[in-house]
Amino acid sequence: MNDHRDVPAIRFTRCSKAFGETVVLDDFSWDVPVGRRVAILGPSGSGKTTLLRLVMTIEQLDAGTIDVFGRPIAAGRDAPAAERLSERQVREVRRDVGMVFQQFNLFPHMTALENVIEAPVRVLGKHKSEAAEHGRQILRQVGLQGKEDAHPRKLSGGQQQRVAIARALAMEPRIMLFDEVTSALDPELVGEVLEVIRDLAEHSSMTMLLVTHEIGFARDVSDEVLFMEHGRVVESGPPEDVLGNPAEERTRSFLRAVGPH
Amino acid sequence: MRVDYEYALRVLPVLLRGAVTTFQATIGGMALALVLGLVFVVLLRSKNVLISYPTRAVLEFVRGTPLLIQLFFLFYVLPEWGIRLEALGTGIFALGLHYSTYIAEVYRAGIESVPRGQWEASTALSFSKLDTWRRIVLPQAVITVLPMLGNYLVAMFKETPLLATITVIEMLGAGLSAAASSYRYFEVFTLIGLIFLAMSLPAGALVRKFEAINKRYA
Repeated sequence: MNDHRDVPAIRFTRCSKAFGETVVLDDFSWDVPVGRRVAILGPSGSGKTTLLRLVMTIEQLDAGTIDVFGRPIAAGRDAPAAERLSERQVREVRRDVGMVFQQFNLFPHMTALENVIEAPVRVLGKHKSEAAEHGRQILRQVGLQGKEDAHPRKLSGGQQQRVAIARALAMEPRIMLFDEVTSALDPELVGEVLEVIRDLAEHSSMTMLLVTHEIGFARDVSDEVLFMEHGRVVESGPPEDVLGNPAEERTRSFLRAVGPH
Repeated sequence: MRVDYEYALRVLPVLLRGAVTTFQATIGGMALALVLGLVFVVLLRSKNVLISYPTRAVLEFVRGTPLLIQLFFLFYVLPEWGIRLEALGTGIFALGLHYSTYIAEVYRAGIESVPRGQWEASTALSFSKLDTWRRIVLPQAVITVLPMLGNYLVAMFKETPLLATITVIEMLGAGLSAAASSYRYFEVFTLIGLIFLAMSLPAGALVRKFEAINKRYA
């Protein structure tokens, strides 16, 4: 990495996004330093997921800009022509970002290994055998050795989500976005997925944004907690402050509502 | 009525030669319909209304007019404009065009059945548009619609006798000319029916096989 220390991994500048009448992000500005692990909390509809989807360019910004390692990845619809990004530019910058979805979104017609190596082969132009070797290694890393040739429908939810994590990792992103990755899982399968992410946080230098409802997990893994509501930041800071001793009443009542942790 | 088995045996090879043409027309027509259907669905899904609306109009027009009329038009009118195709080629073109309009709708349904998350994952992995279609969306869409495509294959197969009306010597054409001199209509048409049945049964089995594949992926 040759980034200047002061170039953030992700920079949101005056970002706004609405779905019809519902404002999900309202003049939102925020820098995520390189290597930071941020847990994003908040009631549903607070804009947390949209935040990730905007970085991933799955949703289109209404206004503002998002930069990844100093390079623009998204600009609002109202941006002047000169600031509009070409599809190629976006794809280039986007390779630094990986995402894991709540519903896994694995490719059902491919085996676990095929899911993992498809993008390295197609997008990075890696040789298939090289990608497969790397893919096997990553699947081992997430505890799925022996499942390489299984199709997603033959795997449990927890295993599927670990394949999805492996698939994102295979692109060797510098930023990982985790969007409520345990919300669709049976309770007994949550642990194995969180364990993989914990391990990842410990053994890599990736920047991570984690939208989650697992407060305990957020406390363990993150070094910053962002609490959002109605598309705005209510408060943010180290987990021991925001989770242990929240300054805002909104945060306190949310933490009470999600229960003991 | 007396069945002339000896005549039946004699006329069988003639009919089977016709069946080869029937087979060619079906395969050719289906291949064209599959490709043309894909072109139509891409145009239909265009965000540009100057492309999608006219495409929609063409599809409605082709679907809303009888195949027989289309055959006659292509066979008798096009040569007046200097476009001359041999009879079988015209037949294959008409079958392919006609069925492509139905198959475009089948593809559309298949594409819409692919969950949004598949597109989103493709975006997140930075696949190109082409790769997203080729590697992610179409394989899933096609698996979903294989049984429907199979049904259209059988339907098209059973419509090939229409080609006899534009001088293609497929099974019906061959049978008509044989019966014209022998007057053994019973033998000729019974045999044609049996050959059609013998050919559609495996196709029907294929459709059920597709349905089984489909279930495995569901």
